[in-house]
Amino acid sequence: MTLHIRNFCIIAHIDHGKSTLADRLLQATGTVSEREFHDLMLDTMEIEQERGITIKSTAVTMSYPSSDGKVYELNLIDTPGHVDFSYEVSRALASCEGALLVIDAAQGVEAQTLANLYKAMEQDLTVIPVINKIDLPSANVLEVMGEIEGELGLDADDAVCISAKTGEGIPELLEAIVRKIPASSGRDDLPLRARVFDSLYDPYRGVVVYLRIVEGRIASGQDVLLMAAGEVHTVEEVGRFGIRREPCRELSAGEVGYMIAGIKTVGDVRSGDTVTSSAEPAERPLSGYEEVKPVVFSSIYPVSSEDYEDLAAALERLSLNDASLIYEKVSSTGLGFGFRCGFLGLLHLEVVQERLEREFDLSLVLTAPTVRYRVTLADGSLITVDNPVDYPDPGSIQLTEEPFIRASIIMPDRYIGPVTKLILDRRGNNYKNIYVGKKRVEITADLPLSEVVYDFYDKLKSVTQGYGSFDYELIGYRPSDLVKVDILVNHEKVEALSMLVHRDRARPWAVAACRNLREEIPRHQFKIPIQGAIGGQIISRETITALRKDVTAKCYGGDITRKRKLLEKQKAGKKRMKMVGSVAIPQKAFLAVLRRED
Amino acid sequence: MPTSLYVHVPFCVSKCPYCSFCSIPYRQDTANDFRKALLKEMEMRLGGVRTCTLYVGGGTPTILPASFWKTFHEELARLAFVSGISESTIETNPGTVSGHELEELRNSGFDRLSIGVQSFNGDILGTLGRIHDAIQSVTCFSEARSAGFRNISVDLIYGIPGQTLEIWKEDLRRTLELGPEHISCYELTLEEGTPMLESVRSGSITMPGEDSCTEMYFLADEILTSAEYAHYEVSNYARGNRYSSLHNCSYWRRSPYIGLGPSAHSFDGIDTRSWNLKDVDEYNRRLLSGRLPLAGSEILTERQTAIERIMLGLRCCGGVDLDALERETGVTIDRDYLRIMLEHGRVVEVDSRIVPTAYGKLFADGDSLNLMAD
Repeated sequence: MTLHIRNFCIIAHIDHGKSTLADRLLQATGTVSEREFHDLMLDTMEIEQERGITIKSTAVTMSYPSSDGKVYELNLIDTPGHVDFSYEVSRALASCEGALLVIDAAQGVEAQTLANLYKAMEQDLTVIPVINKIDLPSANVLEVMGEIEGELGLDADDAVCISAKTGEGIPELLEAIVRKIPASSGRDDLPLRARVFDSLYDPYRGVVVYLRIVEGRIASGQDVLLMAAGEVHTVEEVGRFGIRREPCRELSAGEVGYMIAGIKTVGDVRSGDTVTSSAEPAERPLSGYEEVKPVVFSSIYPVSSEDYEDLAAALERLSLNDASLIYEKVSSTGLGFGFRCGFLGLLHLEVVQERLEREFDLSLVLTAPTVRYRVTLADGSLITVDNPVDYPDPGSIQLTEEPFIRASIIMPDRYIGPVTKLILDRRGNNYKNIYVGKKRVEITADLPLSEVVYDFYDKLKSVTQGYGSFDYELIGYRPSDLVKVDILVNHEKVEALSMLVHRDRARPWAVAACRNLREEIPRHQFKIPIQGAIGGQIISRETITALRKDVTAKCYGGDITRKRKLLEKQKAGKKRMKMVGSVAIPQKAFLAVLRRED
Repeated sequence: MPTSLYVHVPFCVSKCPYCSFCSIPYRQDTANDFRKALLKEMEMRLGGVRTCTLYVGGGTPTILPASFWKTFHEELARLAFVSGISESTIETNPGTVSGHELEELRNSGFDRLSIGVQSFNGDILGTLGRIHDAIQSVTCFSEARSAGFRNISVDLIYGIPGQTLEIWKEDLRRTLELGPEHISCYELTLEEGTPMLESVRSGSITMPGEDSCTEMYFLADEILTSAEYAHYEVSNYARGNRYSSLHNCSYWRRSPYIGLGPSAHSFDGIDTRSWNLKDVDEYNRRLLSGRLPLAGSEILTERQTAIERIMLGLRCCGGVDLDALERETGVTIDRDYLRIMLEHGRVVEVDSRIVPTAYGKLFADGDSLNLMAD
């Protein structure tokens, strides 16, 4: 049987209408009935819908009868859209032959459009430019066509003009997908090689592994080997993606689908791994597999120590479906028992925090995120430190090193000044800029990862008014002069606020941290000194003045109930803060120490 | 156990923009129904009750004719035991009652008058939306004396937009000139839904800052205690111990009380609080069809009892016995926090009780929360 398969993804600058287009394609191909349809079908997680970002890859198979009389299987693979998840993106892209590059007819080509295009080109995908929102009064199709030719170097004649909102141009787009994107093919007589591009935990079935079959066939009942993991599993079910999973007998080369094989956690199946037959294994795995390692670490504590068991259970549940999340038990004086967690980046951290709070109703304190440092001790032994608490006595240290990244930033050239300043402020070096278009510049620079994890991306977006794209790769460790800065609240050291900082940065960091804490910690009934210190030396200080009064004048006659309820409400509010000694520190203060004015 | 009795009269000539109490502009027909309804509620709830204090508040209770209050007292005496009543207060506002009516009220059975003076400054009274002036306040006070009231309380408000420390000082001075037995000094607290809060939000008026309000609080404490008034509760001063408001103290000591009238609260002195409907028409309708106007009730947990005892104790010069509290309610007191309070001079230990200082009373809310260990 010849399969008429087209595997493609949609790439777009944020807000250019990627999800709306996906929805429209699902509707146009009858994959979703009107009744089932709700906007943004593909972004299923609540947080994804709210933030408009995709965290996990998803896939859906659409059946499309083309004007040439054949029925095509269109596999749309929706990818995450944030730099934290760039490895997952590359695995998903590797499973496609084509990409729809969506460009807003009113906004034109933007920095991220270019960065996304590069990603697609790296994977040799056929790119179809799609000019969206042509229904807008401000749409300027001709100008965008010019940009497609001039700035993207693509043939504007290939562009399809649509309005995902009204549905205009969608039939033409479907035809273009069939005609222009190469048919997905592969020899199905070779030993099985299938690329894992994501996996999802199903509470009833275990892990559902998302696959692109590159060569061979996979069928239920077969024993398969995960080549990187070295584990053998028996396939219980294979199938294609509809809006729900649709089991089938087998999947063959070129197809996109899933397998269920009694795998317990997503941690056992890494994206990029190759699935082969254990009876007749392939000689080599597919290229491109990397082990993803967490780069940002933070400790998570429950505000109330009674919630520790619930937090443990919640992390276990989350990690079932999030292989990148790692965690281990820690305890801290002041904050009690919690977990040290590793994340792919700050967005990943925020998503985990939000899910813990929202889906598991936990009230949490997160400590300042740090990277993993490498320390050579006086005796020559090498240790890694990702928690300031574990930082050795400075006297015993021979050398400290911190991880560096190579950043690639693409933006219109008018932002060179502010972006360069931002990079230099963040201890960047090895700086280069090159024009990649008429008015577009790519800046590359090496930066300490610690300078990037917290708010670099936000700052970059702000100085480039949203036009800057950011991508990075880890390039290894470099020597660095680190010190540990402690924060004392009301003369008590708060471990969770300690931070490893470059020596040149220690004082400004401590000054900003104290100032931010002064703003975030509510006034108490006594004055609270907040100090930054290196060793025993105080390097910054702020004071939170005491409340002048804390009483309501009138006790509302006999209505004691009302008065008491107000107090009970306040007491409940205080319970959501962390008590350090007699000071109540709100959750957000723990992250506020990192905020800085650049 | 003898019970205090509160009666809420929900009418005023006009509603002040800062007021969040249950009060509506006076209407003859509604007021007539209310009088009947109140007498009905008395009949339903006061049979055989031994009363120890009576307080008629509002609103402006003296908006109802003095003859009604005569009927009220007769009815009360018929239903309940009144021989133990040691304090019988009615509230009034200057300009709403004549000297003759004050005499009638005195003769009908009230022995204490609480006058809503609020301020002697014309501009401030204007800001507050009061319908009287300083002269009417002074007249009201002297007519009350002539009518035979030997126990008079003057209500003042501070922390009013436009009110300076000087104006407040003058208000206190003029109050002392009158020589009342009791003075209440309430800081203006704006509640949600009041027009004055809207004005503050829209920026058309500005509330004085926390620091000036605190200064005004201490100024009142200094001036009034120098004039031999005891600062016996956050906002209340009494000339000598015998003039503390016995009725209000019953709330604060958590003695039993029965509240009649719309929005009035009752407490059984043990663990049950209940309250009446706020809506005057609905209150009237219920009673006139023979049903109680109860809106809600709650049974306090031991923890809630503890919060109340601490919160109320820290407002009053009687303080709170924390050891007894721990024993009786099972809650734990945060002794470290107590130590901080003692160190900061917010409370002192008097026998087995913790008693707030004038400074400490300013922190009664926050301290009562913090004293409860979890």
